[in-house]
Amino acid sequence: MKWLLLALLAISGQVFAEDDNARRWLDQMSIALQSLNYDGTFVYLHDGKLETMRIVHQTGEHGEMERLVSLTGSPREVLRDDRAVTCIMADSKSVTVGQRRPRQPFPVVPEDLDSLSRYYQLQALGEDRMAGHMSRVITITPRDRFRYGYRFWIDTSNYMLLKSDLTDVNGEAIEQVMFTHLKVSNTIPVTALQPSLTGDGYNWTRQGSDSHNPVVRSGSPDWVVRRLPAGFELTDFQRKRMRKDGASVEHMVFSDGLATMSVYVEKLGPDETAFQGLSNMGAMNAFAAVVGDHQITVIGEVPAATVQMVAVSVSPHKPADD
Amino acid sequence: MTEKLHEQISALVDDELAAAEQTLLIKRLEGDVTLRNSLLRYQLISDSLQNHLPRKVDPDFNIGVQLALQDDPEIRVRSAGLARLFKPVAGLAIAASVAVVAVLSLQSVRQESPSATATMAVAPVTDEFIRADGTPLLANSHAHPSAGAQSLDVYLVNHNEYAVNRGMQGMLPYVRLVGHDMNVDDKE
Repeated sequence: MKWLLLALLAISGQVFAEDDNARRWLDQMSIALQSLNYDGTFVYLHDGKLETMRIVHQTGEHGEMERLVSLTGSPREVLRDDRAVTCIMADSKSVTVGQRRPRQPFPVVPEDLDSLSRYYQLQALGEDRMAGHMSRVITITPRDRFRYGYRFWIDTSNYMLLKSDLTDVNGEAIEQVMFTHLKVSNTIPVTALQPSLTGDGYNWTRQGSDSHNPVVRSGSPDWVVRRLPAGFELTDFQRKRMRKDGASVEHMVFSDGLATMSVYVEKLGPDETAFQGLSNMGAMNAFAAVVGDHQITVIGEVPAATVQMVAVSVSPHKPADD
Repeated sequence: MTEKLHEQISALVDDELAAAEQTLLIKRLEGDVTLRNSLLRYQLISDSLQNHLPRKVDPDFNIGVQLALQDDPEIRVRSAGLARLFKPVAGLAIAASVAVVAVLSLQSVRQESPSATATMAVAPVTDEFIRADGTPLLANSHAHPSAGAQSLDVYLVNHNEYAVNRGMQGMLPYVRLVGHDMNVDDKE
């Protein structure tokens, strides 16, 4: 019995050691992604399709600046600085400007490793050569079907992310991002961070800023999610004027420490059509449901069944007609 | 398209293009659809040859790569340049692959939780965002007809800021926004 106890302790100690080692790599990777200056070209594989993009990132005295631009398909760009994120889409002739939320301080991986380990297994695997660099492979494996897993190839010299896979519960890659060229340098030319699309003549939507979408009320939500996967907790709640007609939308954010889900609840106008069903953008799933005259929309980088389960469980604390 | 441009694109894919040339070429790529499609073909071929494609791909994917090779005489002419993609894989890479397979094998024998199985049966899942009256709606703002209702794009941008802040995926949420060309998706 004593030997069995010692063996169990040794095994659990090894698991924690593996988790801790993997966590250190992930922390360093998060720091590198935010603090290094880099200019790279990468491919994004999803649903059997391949897109090529360029990312330019700089951190300086004015904070972070980032530019993501498509090199294949329709011209699309995302620009981020410390204040705003701007998405310019040539195919839909639209520009969406959102407020940038303050960065979470390092490290990004939750401190509560015990809690995280209940839902994911973190492992540091061997080394692999990727985009001409030696990398360490780190895996995050979900312990149930409500969340995705991850595989990261992290540069052993500077902790930069070279490749990432988002995996389903069977470990199959459903999305891949892989650098084919990456240059880390001290400075980035200003021109490399400037958009090539002007957005002139496009339909502009501004949301999230205090001037355009003031927070009406925080406090506690009027709506409740009655069914959540284990480990997901409410991390943010706001009621904001996000609709085009100026009406407010209730926004709840749930996270298990890695994956995030948003629940939006809005009251529909008398002539508005409600939406229902599933939509997806790669591994990002959305499910729309209707409760009375309210539209429920759940979005998250979790499996389709998870957003569906959450969406159909949303109900008001009080009757919907109040 | 000139032979020099093809050489530059091939070199870009191989990460062998000089920095100054890279800047010029990428600037040119941003404004030239034909050139971008050519880059896509080179990227497909390179990834296929280096076995960097996902395990689960469209069954016609390799055929597509072969057709891309056959259809582009300039690429065929430049086959000597592509030969350098056949680089030996490091022994450590093989070891890592074995380790990944080991993890996946362990994962595949894990039992599904009863609650997860129940979740899958909550309601029939449609394959696209639809209105309550049954007509389809694509997940991008220009397809949204209502002046009052919120578009999915706006929610996606809003949600991404929370996901980026909390997760470790860097720009991945935005990669989805940039990478999903709705026009291309519609045609397929």
